[in-house]
Amino acid sequence: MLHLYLPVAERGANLLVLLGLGGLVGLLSGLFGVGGGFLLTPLLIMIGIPPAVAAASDSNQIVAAASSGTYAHSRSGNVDYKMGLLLLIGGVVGGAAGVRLIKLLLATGQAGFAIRLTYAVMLGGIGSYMFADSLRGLRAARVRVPVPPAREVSRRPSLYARLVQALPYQMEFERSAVRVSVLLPLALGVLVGVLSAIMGVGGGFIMVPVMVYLLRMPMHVVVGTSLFQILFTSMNVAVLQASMNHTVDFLLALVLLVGSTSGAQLGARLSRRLKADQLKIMMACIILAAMVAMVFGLVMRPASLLSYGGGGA
Amino acid sequence: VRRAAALACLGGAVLAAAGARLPQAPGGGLRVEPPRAAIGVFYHGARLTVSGTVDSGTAVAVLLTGPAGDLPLRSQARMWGAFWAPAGHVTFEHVPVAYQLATSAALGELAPAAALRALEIGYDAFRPDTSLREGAAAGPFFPELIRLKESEHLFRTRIGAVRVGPAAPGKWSVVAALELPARAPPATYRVQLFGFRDGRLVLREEGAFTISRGAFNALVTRLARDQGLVYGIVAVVVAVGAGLLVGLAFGSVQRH
Repeated sequence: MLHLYLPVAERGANLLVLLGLGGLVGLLSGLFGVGGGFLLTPLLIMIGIPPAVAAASDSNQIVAAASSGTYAHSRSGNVDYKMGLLLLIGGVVGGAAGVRLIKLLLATGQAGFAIRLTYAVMLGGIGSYMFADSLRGLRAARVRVPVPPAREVSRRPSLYARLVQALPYQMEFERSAVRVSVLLPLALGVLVGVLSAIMGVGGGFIMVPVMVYLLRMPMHVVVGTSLFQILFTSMNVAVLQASMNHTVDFLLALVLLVGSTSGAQLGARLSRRLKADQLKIMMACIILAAMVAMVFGLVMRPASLLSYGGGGA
Repeated sequence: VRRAAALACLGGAVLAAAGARLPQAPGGGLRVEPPRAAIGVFYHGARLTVSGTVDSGTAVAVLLTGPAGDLPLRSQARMWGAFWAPAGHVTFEHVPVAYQLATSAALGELAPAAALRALEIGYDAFRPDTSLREGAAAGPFFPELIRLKESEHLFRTRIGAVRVGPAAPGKWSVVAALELPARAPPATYRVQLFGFRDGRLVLREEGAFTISRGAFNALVTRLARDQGLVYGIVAVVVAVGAGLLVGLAFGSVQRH
């Protein structure tokens, strides 16, 4: 039983458990293009890491996993840098707004509860929609009904599609093979940035469905572009957390990233062997499982009716 | 302050009533092994052995306590009939960071409750000092405080955990193994050995156990607290480097 003392968290943790958690989250990162913060932060809290330290150190390890994953995907030509940059600009603006919102929530003393509730609602909504959509795709494939790509379906454009087409500053995104207004990724980036700041994660689990369903990007480009955006968002958050809150545990992040970087590479390779609908349904299951765990934590009586303050989520 | 003074008076009265001239740590009667622990990279808590010699027939209590201070906590309550959410702020006063008690007999067999309270033996001993600064009465929250601290292994009471054996004619050797979790903060902890006979305190010896930070731990902690921006940038650069290094390694493996 090899234990490690975490100097900023000021407690010990099993080295193999930390490596295993890092590896699992890295695998998901490479497989689905998510940073894994939404999964790793609650897991770290469950093994006794203080919430504030768990979230901040998680941001730091996400940097490693995302840089490893971005590198792997950029080699395969799966990163849309133009789209990623626009989402990132929006994300930085939204992140700053989200931090201010959190400050307001902290002043009312309900930040932790609000964050958990936001998690449950967001995860439940996104997971359910993604699961239902993927299931439809898999069923259609099983009965061998030729399903043309969404963009080629000859039907009257939806209200959303007409609104998007009516927006000014239309731009061609060659890598993603879509043409949308510059305003759309900027606005979606702001939205994701706000939610990311509130929930203390990289935002991949929100960004992936946004890019698939709202920007209509192909899944293989979504994964690489999401990781590219997460990389810079997490770098920003990790430096801010370290300088303002002193909650980044370098040793914890280091152990987690050893596992996560390796896992991300395996995930990136595995993602090339799986079909888009399979990837989406697996991702939906993970999101729904995280939602169930979050709701469980909100509803079940805590071990003690007292808790330490200032731990954030 | 009034509570502390009252407790001191009560303690004095109990000791006076005991009518014994108590030996106060007579040159190494109480041994704490090891006397200190350094928090290194692989530190996962401290184990210490407290030993001493008492007269035959003496009931023994070994108590380790950390520095006491205010403890601000959040109380949880049902919201909308379904969710547990923070409902208020609760601050307990004079709560030790750690409290480890081992005895050779049940608390009731050692001494009367008043005497034990004066010596801070048993959780109830510091209940009067542990008051709420804000909120309602302390009663409903005190067991929750103990539950919280016990779940962190910072508080522990073990009855019958002091091993007693013959040492010399008319003397017993007593040994207690205590454990402090890794989250017990660096500090000097007070270790006390109490001897009771016929419900009266007949022996009280005192020692100390110190937890300090190792060199690497101290360096990282200092950097994180005093040079946050530099620490954050270094952490991010290392993370990017590690990520790219693994990416390159996997890439090269793939090429071969």
